[in-house]
Amino acid sequence: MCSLCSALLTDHWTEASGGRRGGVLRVQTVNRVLSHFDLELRDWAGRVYVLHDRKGRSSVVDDLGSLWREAELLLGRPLDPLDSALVRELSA
Amino acid sequence: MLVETTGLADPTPILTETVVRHNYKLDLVVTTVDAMHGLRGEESVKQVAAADRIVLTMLDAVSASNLASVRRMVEALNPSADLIEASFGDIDPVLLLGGGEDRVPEQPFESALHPDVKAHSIYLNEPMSWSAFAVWLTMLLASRGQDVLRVKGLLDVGGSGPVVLNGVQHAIHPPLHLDRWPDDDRRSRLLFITRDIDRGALERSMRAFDSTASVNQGV
Repeated sequence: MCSLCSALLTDHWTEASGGRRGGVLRVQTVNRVLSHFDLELRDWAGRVYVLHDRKGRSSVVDDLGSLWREAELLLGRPLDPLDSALVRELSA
Repeated sequence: MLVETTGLADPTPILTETVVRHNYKLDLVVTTVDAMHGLRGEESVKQVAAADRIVLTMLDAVSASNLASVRRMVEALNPSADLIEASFGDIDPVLLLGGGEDRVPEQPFESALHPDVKAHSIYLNEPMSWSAFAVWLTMLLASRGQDVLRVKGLLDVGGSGPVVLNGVQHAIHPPLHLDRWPDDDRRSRLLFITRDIDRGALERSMRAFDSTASVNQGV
């Protein structure tokens, strides 16, 4: 893939609304979900987001699309939003 | 630009191809269904799910009852697509390629003619947080993208008009913010075409994610 194509990959459909505040709120929502799996997304130096697990492992995340792939790699299984235990916890 | 694929093409790789996605705006997907053979194979189901417009062909070769049976199956799989019948390629180009309506059938709606693939409509009476919806849908597609054949509809995020959503599996087209609603119905209305996913589980999950945004006082 050429460098032009890779630069374009930072444009994600979830950024279409909400602006900067929307981005902050997406991180808050993400961390509520991730806490169910003992994961956390943190801002590093205001430049990138880094996903952490409780074992000290971490990975850089480009956008929401890549977040769940990285979370699955850290967790060793897909994170399913339809999981009834997760839904109960978020609804509480 | 018109792209004609082979009869066995899976539409998703074309719609998700990076250079295409960033240099062209998708207008519509037209799928033809041979009324004599109906839907055969995984690819034909995906093609119908991805379609904005479906053309039933080979009408002269089938009985009225068989045609009605294929029509019912196609309508049940994708109730939002415009359905056109054409014999020997005789079709008005404007009807084929012109603008159409974005329909989400009235709830409650759940089709049950295909053993695995079903169309679900979800209506919401209150605005939903865009942030919560974005987090939810990206997570759903990451874990179940192969089973979410289509997502489309209008989402109320609290603005003067809705956000127009259109996606085929992992390919979510850039959402479009409208200045006003197309009609007097201000409810969010979303159509999902899925494989082996329960409608109730979809709605409960979506609402649970939205409840986190109310705590965050989110967007």
